[in-house]
Amino acid sequence: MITLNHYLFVSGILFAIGLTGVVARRNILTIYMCLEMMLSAANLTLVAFSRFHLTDGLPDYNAQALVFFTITVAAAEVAVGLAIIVALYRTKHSVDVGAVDNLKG
Amino acid sequence: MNPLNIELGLGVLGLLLLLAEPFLSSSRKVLAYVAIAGLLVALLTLITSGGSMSVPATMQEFYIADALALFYKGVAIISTLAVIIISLEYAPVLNKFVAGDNARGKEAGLGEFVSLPLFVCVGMMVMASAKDLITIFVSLELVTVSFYVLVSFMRRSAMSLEAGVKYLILGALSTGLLVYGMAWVYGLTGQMSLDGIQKALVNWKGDNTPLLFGAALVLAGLGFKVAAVPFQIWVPDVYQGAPTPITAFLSVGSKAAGFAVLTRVVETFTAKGSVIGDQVIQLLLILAGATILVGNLSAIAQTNFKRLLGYSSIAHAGYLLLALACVHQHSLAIAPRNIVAFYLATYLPMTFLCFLVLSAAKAQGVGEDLKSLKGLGHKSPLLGLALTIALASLAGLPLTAGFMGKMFVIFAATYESNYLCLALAIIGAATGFYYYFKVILTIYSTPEVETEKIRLSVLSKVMLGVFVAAIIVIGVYPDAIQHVLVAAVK
Amino acid sequence: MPAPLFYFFSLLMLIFGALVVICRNPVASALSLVVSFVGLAALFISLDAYFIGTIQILVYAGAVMVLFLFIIMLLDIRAEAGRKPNMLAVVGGIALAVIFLVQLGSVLSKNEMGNKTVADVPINYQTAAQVQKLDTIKADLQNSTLPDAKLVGQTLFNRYPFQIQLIGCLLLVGTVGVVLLSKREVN
Repeated sequence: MITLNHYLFVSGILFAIGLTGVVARRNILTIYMCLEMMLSAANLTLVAFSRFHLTDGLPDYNAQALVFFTITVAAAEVAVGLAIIVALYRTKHSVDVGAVDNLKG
Repeated sequence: MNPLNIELGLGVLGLLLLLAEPFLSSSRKVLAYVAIAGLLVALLTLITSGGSMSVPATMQEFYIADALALFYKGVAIISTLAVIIISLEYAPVLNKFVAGDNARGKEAGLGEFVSLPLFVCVGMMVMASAKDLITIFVSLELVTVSFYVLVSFMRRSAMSLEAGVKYLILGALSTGLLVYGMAWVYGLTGQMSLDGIQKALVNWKGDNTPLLFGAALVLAGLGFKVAAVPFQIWVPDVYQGAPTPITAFLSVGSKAAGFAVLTRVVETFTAKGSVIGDQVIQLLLILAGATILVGNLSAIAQTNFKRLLGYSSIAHAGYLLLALACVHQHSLAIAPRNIVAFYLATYLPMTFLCFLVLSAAKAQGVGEDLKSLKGLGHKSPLLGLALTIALASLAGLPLTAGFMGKMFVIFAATYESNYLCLALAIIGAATGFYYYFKVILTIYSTPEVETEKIRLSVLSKVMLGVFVAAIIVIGVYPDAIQHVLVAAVK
Repeated sequence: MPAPLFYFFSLLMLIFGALVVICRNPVASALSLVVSFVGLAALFISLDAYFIGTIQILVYAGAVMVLFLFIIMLLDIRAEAGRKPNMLAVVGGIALAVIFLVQLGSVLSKNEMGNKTVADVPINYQTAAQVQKLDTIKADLQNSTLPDAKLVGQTLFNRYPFQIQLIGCLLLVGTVGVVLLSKREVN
């Protein structure tokens, strides 16, 4: 049978895959996709817990409200983030992590 | 009075400024003056009606207006005020990197540059009051997303964009960790509000490993925002690349708001009887020790003043974390949350002074390297003196505000018998003396090339005077701030 | 959800999630992420979160990923041809993930509520209908259907109107920021 732990473990693996991508990849766009994946994994954990915390016989909709907010924030973050990445591309003509190394010291 | 009125007012002011900007025929500086006036009104309202704040019943679940909240709201407003004044000094640099070559207006982007901080201010004020996970998340993200825009605001400067990308990636990473941690804390306790979580932690039966996992992730997420080691890697680069007023804002406002949230979260986790209290304190102590050490040691070798201030900001975050971790001491009359608040109150004027001088210098063609500050003390004696006082206070020289802040932290650590952290704090303070005084020596050395005198606007001069006075008054008579903190409780 | 379906959608999500990291071509990564999010949405629906599942597809797989694809095409980013991945970073990333998963495994083994299945905590429509004040939701609950979107809306607008306004501020700042960063000339 599928238990809560199954859901938590699957979301944990997705989170870990995202984390690996953030550390290992060099393309800023891919890194950003991996970050979205991590946020979605966190959402899965939240929804799973919300289903198992019944309040008045229903899933806990407070947690789903938080999921709703994270999805909204993530969408806004993506819009701003991509604008910054495009602006960076215009000055550097690259989206490689190696291109952002002027700031050192 | 409903404390939300102030936040609402500032939000509406921000909207109106954004709306007015395209239709304005006169100088964009008018917008900045309106913003400054609005913030002053907000500050006055906060001070005059501080004792009589009451939150509507429907919001009491997630919003609190206690002394701590009011204090951090004040810090948010003052920081925003200072940032807008510094922005006025910085306007020429901003214009250079925002406007295109063939459309070099005088004040490109200045309108947005002074309106967006008002929204950040709203976010920081809500953070000060937030006491459930959803409100913490939403207000924190309002601040973070605004900072993404502000850090990369100078879109024709590769440095600013690079700082923006770094802040973006690491900010989004910290958001991911925070949400995942929140999911676990919520999932195990079944509660969204910090009060509910605290009750669940006290009444917890069974193994506390899952709780620690969630708590550690939440602390990691918040650690990014306040620049605690090992989540500090973004700080030096972002501080160096971002427009100087925004660096100041990040260094004071964002950090203060982060600590407001961190104070409430840590108090929840370490409440009396909490099953994860001891481990969380251990974790905080390790973070604090590492942060003090890394911040101070890396600052020694810096040649760029902005980067140096970045590392110094990390080091100060370490002292603040150390204060936060000293929850057991009862001998000292002042609670950890008040030590943190006091420390931030002393940190605010000295940091803003440094960034004010840096902004004015940069706008008038002086670089941000330490060596380009040579001779500042001879050319502009008053400015040099103000910078000297600020740096001495950052180092923690007696009779300045910084000394009192460090002293409280060190006392708290002594009462708590955290001798390792105490030793690190003292080593850190000693190192601080070295690198801050190196800057002071540079200011008063003779330059190889003649430099121009740096001029300040009247507003900046007023700000300079007020902050220098604040440093000295708090240093000589620290009760001033304590009275504010204690009076607000009553 | 029957166990085979759970495993199917989980594997779909994880395999395509891994492909996002493995693919060297950003377009392939983005498309893999879309598939991964479809699997994720199915898992949401299996947890009776229909509304969240739907907006996961609409917002993420629809809007956000299209934006990503659009940017990749606009910038004409090719695969990282010939560039060797940084082995140190790859090893570090995998090590980090392994440490995290080991940690998670030990946490899950001690998670006392983790052994419940969805069937152990069935939704109790009649109790919910009794405390529910809104007529439309009450009627739905009495018919033993879950008016998921209505309930999410009720929570959002009754309990969290203030947070929604803050999110509104955030979206405004985001919009202004995007315009500022990408406008050709600022006067």
